[in-house]
Amino acid sequence: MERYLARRVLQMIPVLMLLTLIVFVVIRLKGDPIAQLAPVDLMTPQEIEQVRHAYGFDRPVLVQYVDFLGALTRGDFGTSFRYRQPAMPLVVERLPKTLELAFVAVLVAWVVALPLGIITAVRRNSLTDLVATTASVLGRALPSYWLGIMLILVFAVWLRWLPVSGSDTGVHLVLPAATLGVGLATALTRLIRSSMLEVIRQDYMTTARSKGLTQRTVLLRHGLRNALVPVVTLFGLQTAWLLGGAVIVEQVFAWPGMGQLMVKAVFTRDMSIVQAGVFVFALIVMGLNLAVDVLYTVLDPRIRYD
Amino acid sequence: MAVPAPPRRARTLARRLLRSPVGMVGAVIVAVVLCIAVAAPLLARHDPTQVAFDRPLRPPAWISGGAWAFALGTDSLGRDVLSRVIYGSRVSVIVGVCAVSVASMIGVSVGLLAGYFGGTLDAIIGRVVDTVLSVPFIVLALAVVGVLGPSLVNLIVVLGAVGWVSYARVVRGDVLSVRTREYVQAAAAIGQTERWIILRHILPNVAPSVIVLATLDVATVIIAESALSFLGLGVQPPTVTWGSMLADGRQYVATAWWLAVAPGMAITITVLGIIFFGDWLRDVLDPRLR
Repeated sequence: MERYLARRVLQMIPVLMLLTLIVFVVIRLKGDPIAQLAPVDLMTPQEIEQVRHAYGFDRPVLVQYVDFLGALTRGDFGTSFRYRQPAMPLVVERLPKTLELAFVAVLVAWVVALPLGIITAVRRNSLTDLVATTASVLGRALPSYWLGIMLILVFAVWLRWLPVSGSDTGVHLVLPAATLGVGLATALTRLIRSSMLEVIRQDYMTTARSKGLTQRTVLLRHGLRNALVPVVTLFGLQTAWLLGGAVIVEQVFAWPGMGQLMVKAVFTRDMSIVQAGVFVFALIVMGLNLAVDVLYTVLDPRIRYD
Repeated sequence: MAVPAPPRRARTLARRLLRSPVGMVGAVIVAVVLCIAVAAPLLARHDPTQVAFDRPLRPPAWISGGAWAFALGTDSLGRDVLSRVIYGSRVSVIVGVCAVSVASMIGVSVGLLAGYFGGTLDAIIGRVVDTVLSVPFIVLALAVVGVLGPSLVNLIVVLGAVGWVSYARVVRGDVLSVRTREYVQAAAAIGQTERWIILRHILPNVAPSVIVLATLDVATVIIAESALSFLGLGVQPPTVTWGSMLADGRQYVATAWWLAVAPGMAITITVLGIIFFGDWLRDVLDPRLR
């Protein structure tokens, strides 16, 4: 297991290296990167020249890339000119809020999808199945930002049960987490349903039933546990989607997470923050995918990584 | 250079579509949205950008205070919401079709090369795909639009440049299985060039999965485009987009709910139509993808 983990972490290195190259190129897509990293329209030509020299943009591109890599390994992702602080700590400071939102959304999704997925698979073609299947098709088509606005309209404006936006108390988390969670829940319900349908037909299920086990034990111990393996795989692939959704949902509900910070940074052309954010998102996605792989061994002890 | 489908096959497809209610609904929705986008100037009763301060925030016609001249009401600047929804379809259709074309062209080429030649090239492409997939789509698009600046062309380029990876993956997988078949081996044995083999023998075989993927991808791109517009990073005013209408609607959600409902419905119905049609297409052309 340790060797497998070590190998997986090593495999992240080329991906991260490529990411540095992509970010390095993207910042220079419009020629002089100085315009992306400093408020050039507010500066005199001399000041621009000074900053350009300070960043090393007057040097050969290859040297700049090596410098850029060197800075990254020291954890230096540039300085935000808007906050006049290093960019990385600013992003990391907002990270817990985004993770909180994503975590609760995932929780909501599982709590909704697990019973629904099982019930719709067991009672195939029932009314519940029809309703849940229709809902999951609709869930695929509903853009999260619109769903968020509609939830605000119903629960905050019309019913006045919940606040429109903000992040002071747990109540503020309900609508954003529900918005993000619903999209995820529809996909998850579909996955669990089809995986359960596959498993229900297996011989060991009949064996388990013929042993006289209760329907409940058969479904949960023998069925669900096996059905979850492919579900977890596909769910792992959704982490990038989930975090992307969080960026949008944060905007709808004025949730002070990383996404909101990055969107603001794009508007003020504060690209140091954007590049730091891109790296943090990539690290989270890679970390979670690794966690999912490790989770397999718990769900299916036959899977061993050595 | 896919082989054009013989007419008989097209007719069989059309007949199968008529027998599938869901696929049919999808096809009708897609056709209607396309017609609306093309015929927007004929359908809209008002100029979508015409500001009129004497009629701000009028409710839809069926609510007291509304009028059928402004069937879906007016926004804070007195602009007709229905006309804006009609014109908004244009950006979604253009970006959807163009970005998917860009993405599929890049993705199919890269996938063909990676799958056919394998080796180091495949390994490098694999790492690039992993890298692009490790960053949320919208975050990457955000970063690139941030640098390039928001415009219709940049939006298409960005969504295409970020979206190609799924095509590359699918095509690479298909090529790996197709290239071991006898007719490909035979073509190589009689000395046909690699270029000929790829274009004439392999490409037609990966085309069905690409067509299915591209159809469903239009839905993804339309959602991504309106998300960027919603964030203020899409096509800029005065061009009307559904996403920017939603951003306006978000501000007036407490006082004028119809501003957010109308464009959201437009996006959802369009996307639903594409999904219905795409799912049907997948069942017919490429049942393996289920």
